[in-house]
Amino acid sequence: MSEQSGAVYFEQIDVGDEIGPLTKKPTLEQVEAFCRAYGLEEKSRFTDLETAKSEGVDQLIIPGIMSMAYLSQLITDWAPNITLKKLDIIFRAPVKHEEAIQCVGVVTDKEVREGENCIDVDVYIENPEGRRAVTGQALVVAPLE
Amino acid sequence: MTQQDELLFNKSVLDEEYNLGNFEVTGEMIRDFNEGTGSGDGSEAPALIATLFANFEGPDDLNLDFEGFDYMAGQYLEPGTSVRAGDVLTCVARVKSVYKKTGRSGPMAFVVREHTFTNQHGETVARVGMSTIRRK
Repeated sequence: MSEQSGAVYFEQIDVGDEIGPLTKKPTLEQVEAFCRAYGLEEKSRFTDLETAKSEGVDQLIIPGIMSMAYLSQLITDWAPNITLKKLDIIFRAPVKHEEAIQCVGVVTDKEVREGENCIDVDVYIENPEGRRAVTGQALVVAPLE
Repeated sequence: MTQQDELLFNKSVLDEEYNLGNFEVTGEMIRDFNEGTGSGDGSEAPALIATLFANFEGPDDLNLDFEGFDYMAGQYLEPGTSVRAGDVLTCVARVKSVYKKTGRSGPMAFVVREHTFTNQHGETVARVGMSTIRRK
């Protein structure tokens, strides 16, 4: 296989390797664009503070799917030659607007399963207070060198 | 957190497939998605975009007897082929489980759904699992 720029190969990956951080600071404009993408154009807890408060949320938060998108981006930005097979996450706390959050991955296992070079990665989104607002696991397949 | 008394809903919907519908992915949608997440460009989107169509509420006859607001509890994605502007995705979903728990903030109803999206060529675009919490 010819080497791709930024490529990573199965042999090069070790348990404990860190991926990222991918830093994000979601703005109202970005959240509005994201909500438009799925047809949510009316006021919601994601874009309107009064609506958020009426639903028991004291600050504007981002949609859970947007957190999923960030963690997916963390993995796909890691290298152009890897394949994301599964991303499984739990929402533990809201991610708020204008918070500088860090998306991070840590390799926890690597082994060949059913002929595929599988990499297990713990992923999380950490807020400025150091709390892991979103946590989960990714399964990634990496080619051999 | 403890399991509480039985939650009232239409149990006949469990594990039964229902058609969530067909969804056209437009260039505008991909642009908004990429602008919102600060990722990607052009007319191609990751399979992840299918998660936008995964639904909090179906099926119509779930009849969950529990009032409140829905929040995401968890989600998984198994991406398949990527998505291009103009693709039409068909979604088949099923309710895997419905249960009630009581936490510090009171009783909550959990609904676990699975969605499978295919494109107009019959290729699998994504499998998306979604757990939602309804709480007062």
